[in-house]
Amino acid sequence: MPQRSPLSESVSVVSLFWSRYRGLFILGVSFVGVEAFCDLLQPTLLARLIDEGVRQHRLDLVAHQGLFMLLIAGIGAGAALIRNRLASVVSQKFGADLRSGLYRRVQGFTHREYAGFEPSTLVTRLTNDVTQIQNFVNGIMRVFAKAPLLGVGALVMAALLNLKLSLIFLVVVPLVALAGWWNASRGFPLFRLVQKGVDRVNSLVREVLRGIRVVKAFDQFATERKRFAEANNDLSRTSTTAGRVVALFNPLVSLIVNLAVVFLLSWGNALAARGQMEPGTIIAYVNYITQILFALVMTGFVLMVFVRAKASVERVTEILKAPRSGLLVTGTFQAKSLGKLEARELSFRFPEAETWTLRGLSFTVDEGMTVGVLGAMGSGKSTLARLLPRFFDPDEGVLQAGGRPLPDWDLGLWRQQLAWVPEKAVLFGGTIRENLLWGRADAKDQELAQACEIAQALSFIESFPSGWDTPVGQRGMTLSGGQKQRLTLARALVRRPSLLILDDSFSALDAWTEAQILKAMKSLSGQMTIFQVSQKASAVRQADLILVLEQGHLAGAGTHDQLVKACPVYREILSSQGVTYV
Amino acid sequence: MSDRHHPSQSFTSRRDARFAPPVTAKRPWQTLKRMSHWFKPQSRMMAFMAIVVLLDGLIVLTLPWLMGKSIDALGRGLGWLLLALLAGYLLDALLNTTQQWTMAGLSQRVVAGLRTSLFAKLDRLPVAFFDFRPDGDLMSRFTNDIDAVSSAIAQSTTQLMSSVIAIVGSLTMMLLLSPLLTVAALLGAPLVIVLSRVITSRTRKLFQEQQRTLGLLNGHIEETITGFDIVKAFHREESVVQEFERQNSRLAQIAVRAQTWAGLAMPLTNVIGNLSFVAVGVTGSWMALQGWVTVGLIASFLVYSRQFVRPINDLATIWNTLQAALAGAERVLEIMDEPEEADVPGTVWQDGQGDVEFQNVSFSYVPGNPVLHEVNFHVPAGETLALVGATGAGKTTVVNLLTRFYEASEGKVLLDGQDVKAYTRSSLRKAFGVVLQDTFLFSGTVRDNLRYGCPDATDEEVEKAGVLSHADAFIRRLPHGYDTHLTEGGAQLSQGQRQLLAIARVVLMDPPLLILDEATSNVDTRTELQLQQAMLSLRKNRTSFVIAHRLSTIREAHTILVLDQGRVVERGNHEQLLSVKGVYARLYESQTLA
Repeated sequence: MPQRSPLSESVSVVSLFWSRYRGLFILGVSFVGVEAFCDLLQPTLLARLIDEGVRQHRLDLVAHQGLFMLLIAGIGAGAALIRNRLASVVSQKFGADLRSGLYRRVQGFTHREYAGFEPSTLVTRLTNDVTQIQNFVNGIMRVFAKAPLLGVGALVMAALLNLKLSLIFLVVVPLVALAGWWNASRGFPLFRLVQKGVDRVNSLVREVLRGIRVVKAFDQFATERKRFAEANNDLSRTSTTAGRVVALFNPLVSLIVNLAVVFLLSWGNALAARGQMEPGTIIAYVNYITQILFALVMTGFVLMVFVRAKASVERVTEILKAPRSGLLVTGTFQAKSLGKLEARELSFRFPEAETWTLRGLSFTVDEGMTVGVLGAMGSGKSTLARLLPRFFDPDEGVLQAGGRPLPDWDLGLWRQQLAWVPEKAVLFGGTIRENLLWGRADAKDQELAQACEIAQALSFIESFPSGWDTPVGQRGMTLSGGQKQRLTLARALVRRPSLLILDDSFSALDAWTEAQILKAMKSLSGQMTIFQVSQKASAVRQADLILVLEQGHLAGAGTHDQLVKACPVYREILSSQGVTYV
Repeated sequence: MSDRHHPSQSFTSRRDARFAPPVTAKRPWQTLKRMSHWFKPQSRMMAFMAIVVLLDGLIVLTLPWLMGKSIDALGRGLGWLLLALLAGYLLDALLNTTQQWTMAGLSQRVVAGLRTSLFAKLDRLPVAFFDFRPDGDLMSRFTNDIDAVSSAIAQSTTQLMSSVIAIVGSLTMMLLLSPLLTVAALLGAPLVIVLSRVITSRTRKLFQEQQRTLGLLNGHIEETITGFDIVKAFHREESVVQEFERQNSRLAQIAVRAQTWAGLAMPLTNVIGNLSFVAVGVTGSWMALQGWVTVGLIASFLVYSRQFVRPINDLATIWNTLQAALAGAERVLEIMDEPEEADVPGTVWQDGQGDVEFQNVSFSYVPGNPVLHEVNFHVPAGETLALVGATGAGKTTVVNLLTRFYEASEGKVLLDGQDVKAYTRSSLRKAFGVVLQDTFLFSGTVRDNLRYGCPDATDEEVEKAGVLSHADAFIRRLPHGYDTHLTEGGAQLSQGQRQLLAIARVVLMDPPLLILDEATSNVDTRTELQLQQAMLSLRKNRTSFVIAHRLSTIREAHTILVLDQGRVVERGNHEQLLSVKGVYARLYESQTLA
């Protein structure tokens, strides 16, 4: 496996390309130049063949010139083969480098940096945008570079052949450019409208598909059909208009060029009458005009692709140049066990947030205790759970374990001590077994089975035809939300952590299964410190310590009995959930 | 010279079409015939286009010949030749514009018609159809397939036509002008055909491999980036990067090969074009020296040979596009062929009592895998039935049968003493107000959404429903209150807020029967407490079905049915069930006893 050196910090896409592929790129474009030059020579050579060979009845000149033309065609072919290879190598390798640089950067993101992007846009930047850039590089080293070279070259060759006749280009080129500009300026806004129309139609369809039960239950299909008909007709109309504007372009450009040819013939006729023009020259001229036409149209296309690639480069650059923030200090302290977990005047707020998410929390957790964290949505309980694995560090106050602030610990070893089960269950491509081994790579089958038994996952795993080797993740078996949650719990248990963080991890489970899991987990009590975040009072009532959060503040801390006596917020939560207390 | 270049096509779609894995329609002719249903309204336009294409093709064929004649006549006065050329070029432009202009309208009308038919079909499809098919699949049939289908069928057919005219016509013209020079000009043709075949088949395999590898890599990227937290928490950064690098290098290797092969096609055509250029030039000059042909004829030949070779090259692409389009058409027709919800004319349910009974109802989604076993219950009009049980116990299935989203495999579901199958679906569904766990809102304002069940409600009624369902407070805090525009699914609202809107929607509808399937599962507990009163009054005197995990919300139900694996295991009211100390009692204690 070839090792790529990681990108240096805040490097730009262009400089990355230039520093690594400058040589091959220049070489490739040079070969494109050779190829274009060979293409350009042919009409002039043919003109000579006809005007000198045929008109002067020199068979030797014909043969001689013919061989020369063959040789030029051969050289052109050679150049084309080489630039083809170079373009493929440079574009694909560069794409791989860019992707790798981006991926390493993203995986190296701190949580603060990660929070600056929508995850789905990170994915499209690494996939679609890189592909766009890659295609652009590929195109440049092929036809994109060839088109302008051919265009300018054809102008020069034509002028060399007959300077006077080339005046015709002074008319043709601006006219075609004008047509192209007109087409683009009328077409682009229309196509944006078309895209809008397509989006509208698609979103209506998606709505009906996703809300089909509601549509049917409310017997409202007629309404939907009316909404759809409007959007559909709208789209049809704008598409037709847009299609028609574009429909004019190709025939128009062809007509301009063809009229030039007719004009050329009539002028050539006048010149020939005075003996100032040979037929071969006219033939060559017609060929050059065709090449210029191709070049002009292609250049317009290149500009369009360029605009798209530029947007991609900008999106990718945002990742590469994302400002560094939230970098975590890591110390060297390590310990076999967690020790006492302590928070002192802990405060935290998200970047750019106006209010504190957590404010002045203080509590102490002895090793092996089970801690329940209870609160309504938005009370800050999930954020507290995310401070423990050091996704973020508190802005004020200290969180410490084993008598040392968390930043003193070796970050990697600290995270190896704990296991985190998020509310939204995430599994990765691979088998069930491979996913569970994320917990601990050297876990034995028996340990996996034990963890799954506690997580109430054993029975459904064994019911799958391929059992432990059932593929899951994007390309694997479709699991229900509850099954996924149980597997993520099992994955965490496989780790045998000193600190287990359950972040509302049972939300997709029915009450039955949840009760069974909680019962089974009692066997773990004392073996590890458990931090259990929940909205449900019943889930945490037996915890050794319950932290009640309200709007980021600690509204109460203690056992169930203590809180019932002393904490009004806790009593309110209990009663709202219909929990009776004595 | 009418040697048209369409770089935008030749560079993206054409290349893709050419090397895309071969999609073949299963029954191309039959599909084409069935598709003609949507083309039929355009048949006059199609005939018109065919004539235009044919005319244009013929005109384009004469132009190189006229050009050759003109070159020969250089210096001796061109006269009518120039006029003919001028007329020819103008006509070509005119016909060409007409063709593309007509095409733009025609293909859009066909697409719109096809979309309308497919959308209307959704109305007639049973819920089961949607349950067992991923949305993405249907979406892609609606968008990619339909678009590909109609435009490609219309365009490919005309392209096919003009290509054939160009090939046959150019060949005929060349043979008429000089058979010997024809041989010289076409020396390269077999080479083009053979080489482009080799390249295409080779590239196709490599492209498939490249797509597969790219898919795997993108999957890895997506999983590990969206699963960022887990990667960090489990300290797996190193290993996911390693896996990424492995797949990334593999992709680069394959992609270099695939691109190299794919890139051969263009220069190859170019080289062969050049060779044929040289062959015509040299042979023609030699023949001109012998006095067999004129210089002008050489010029004509240069154009004819290009007009002959290029469409040959295009044919493969056009054919593939057409095949892909037909395959897409088949995917669309598959939906059209799906069996529909049979709506036998039935009685209209109106102002009935709302007395519901299940008689020995059994049901299975997949034959042989029953989810309800002989379920019996009776809910007198105005009473509330609560359904309790683990996931998969069959609670939601009961709801599905009530609303006739599905129909009982065995037994009967009765509404006011009559089988629900005897009522029209429409009247039956109007009788039920449904709040589902997975709340769905439509794009439009909050007001539009609340009115969904009864479009005629006044603003006051809408707002009253908002107040009753405790949604009013948060709605008024939205930027434009009741007129706030909700984007698809109400993504800017929390789950709980969406549920409140769904409840308000039903409150406004004021239906005789009510189904609440986990209707408040995402509402925070304090709001739920307030809401419970509203729900109680909503259920009062209305036959109601309630499903809830939180047992505290169903204590007041007249009857509670405990389901386990499709069977009724306990039934009774709250107190009765607590006293039997069974499943219900244990669960209730686990949830509520401190």
